[in-house]
Amino acid sequence: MSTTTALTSSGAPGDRHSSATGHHQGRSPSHAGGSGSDSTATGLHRPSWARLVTIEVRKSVDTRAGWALLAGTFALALIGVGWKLTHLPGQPASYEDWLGSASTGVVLLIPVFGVMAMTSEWSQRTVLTTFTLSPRRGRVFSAKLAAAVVLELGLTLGLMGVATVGVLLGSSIDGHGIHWGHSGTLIGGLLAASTVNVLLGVAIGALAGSTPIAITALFVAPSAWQIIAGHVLHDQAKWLDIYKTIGHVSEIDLRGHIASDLTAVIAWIVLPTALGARRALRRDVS
Amino acid sequence: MMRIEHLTKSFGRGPAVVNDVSFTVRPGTVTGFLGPNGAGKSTTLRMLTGLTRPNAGRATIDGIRYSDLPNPGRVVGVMLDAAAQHAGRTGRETVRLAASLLGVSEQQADATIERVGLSAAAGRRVGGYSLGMRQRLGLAVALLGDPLALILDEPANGLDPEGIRWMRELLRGFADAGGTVLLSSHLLHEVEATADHLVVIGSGRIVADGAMAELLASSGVLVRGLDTPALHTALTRAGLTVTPSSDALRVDATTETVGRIALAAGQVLTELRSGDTSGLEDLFFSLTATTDTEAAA
Repeated sequence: MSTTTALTSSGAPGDRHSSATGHHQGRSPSHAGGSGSDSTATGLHRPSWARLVTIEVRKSVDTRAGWALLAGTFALALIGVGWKLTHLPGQPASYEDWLGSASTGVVLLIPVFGVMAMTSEWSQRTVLTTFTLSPRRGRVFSAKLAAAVVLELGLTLGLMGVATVGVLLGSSIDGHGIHWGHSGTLIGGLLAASTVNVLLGVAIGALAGSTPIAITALFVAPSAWQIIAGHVLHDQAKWLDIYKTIGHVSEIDLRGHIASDLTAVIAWIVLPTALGARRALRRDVS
Repeated sequence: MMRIEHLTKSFGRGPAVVNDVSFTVRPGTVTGFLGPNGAGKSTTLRMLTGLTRPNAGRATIDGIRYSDLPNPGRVVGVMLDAAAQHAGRTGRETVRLAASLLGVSEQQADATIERVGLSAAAGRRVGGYSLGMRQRLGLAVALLGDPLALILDEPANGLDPEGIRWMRELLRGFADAGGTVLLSSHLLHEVEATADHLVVIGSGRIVADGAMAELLASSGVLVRGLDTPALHTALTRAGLTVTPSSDALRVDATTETVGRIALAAGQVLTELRSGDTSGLEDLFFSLTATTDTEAAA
């Protein structure tokens, strides 16, 4: 019975490969009589993790909302630099100041990219398709996490570019020099802090599993801790103050804070991400 | 070959939504998975595709669990919920994303969009699509990997009559070319026109499983003659079970047997046919009604 062997023969992936040519020309149920399929070994292999990350990055920017978030965030950097260009101080410009102007608004939105990466597909229910095409949920989860970091790094590098163009333009307009300062530390610190920042969003998004809850938690919980615990515990609040940690990271200076910074990272990032991953791996998709 | 073996699922501490469900879907056939809403169809299909964990039992495709398939979209095309699409993404981008994951070219993605009749709308965002268009989009994603089998949950929902006919022909052609099709529906006449095998589920249990022809035959033969009482007597005398149904008789036998008996008895027949839609509909409702009552008891 040749018709029954078609599906049965694909039982062992190798078998199907060896018969793939004849199979796709002869009887492919979905393209009877046609070719059009570029099926070769690709059909038999799991897509690479790098491909999954690329796809997750693409998913973050190929929707109207995703694109608007990205464009809006970048626009904040442009506005910051634009404001500075129209209010030149009349003295040598410090790169640190310009970088600060470019990143003020952006820093606020960067964790949102982490939240969106982890929650968007659950809220839009597209996980249904994602997990049917890619059933190894752990790979999808880690690819989403990586995609959030890739986006954040791209965005941070972008705003550094905007700040650099701004400071050069500014100095050529008013003729004053540029004070570069420790640009290496500045750049490294901003990249590192943004990464911790986006991971905070990833963690809260993974734990909440839904966009509105995660966004609310993101903007309320760490600040609430700072305010409430700051009043009650005073200096001891630092043990769970993730914003203080991000501050230390951005200065690339953890001296004397390592224990409290680690505690904050474990509590705000590592634990919720682990719990969120566990949930995403087991959660029934409906 | 898809094999579902003793699948059982309950959510939380509730009763089993799917209770010891077993059936097989063979290549070259369209199998209709029929049951009223809430009977456990979708949960069964979600367990088959690894989206929901069964409490017991297993489901395999050619002996392999779905989640162990390296690139499942190249083996089984799946559409479980056409509404689960990102509203802000265009139709073309939706299909191309899937193509990228499957390792299928963008040309083939576009060709598949054309195949499901969405070329004109492909550049629009899915949010503006009708349910019927989303079904076509979901089907495009399912067909994209040139699979050997299809698993479709209520694919006819929201399609217009022309779309339903198109879908029917597509699935028939797919199975005739040797493919395996499993499609669920809560509408009997939808499945009846396409499927050659039926699995009926009611309150989480399989209540009927067989070839469409067999299930139709089991609902008997309808016969009308000029002299109904004489015909009734002749059939009963031949040892057949006869049930009067308005001015006709329902007989538990084949059309040939009934014809021969009528010939021997010299009876003129005005109508003789095997169980029709209403017969299967009776079957469907009786089967599901019985299990509903059992569940309530």
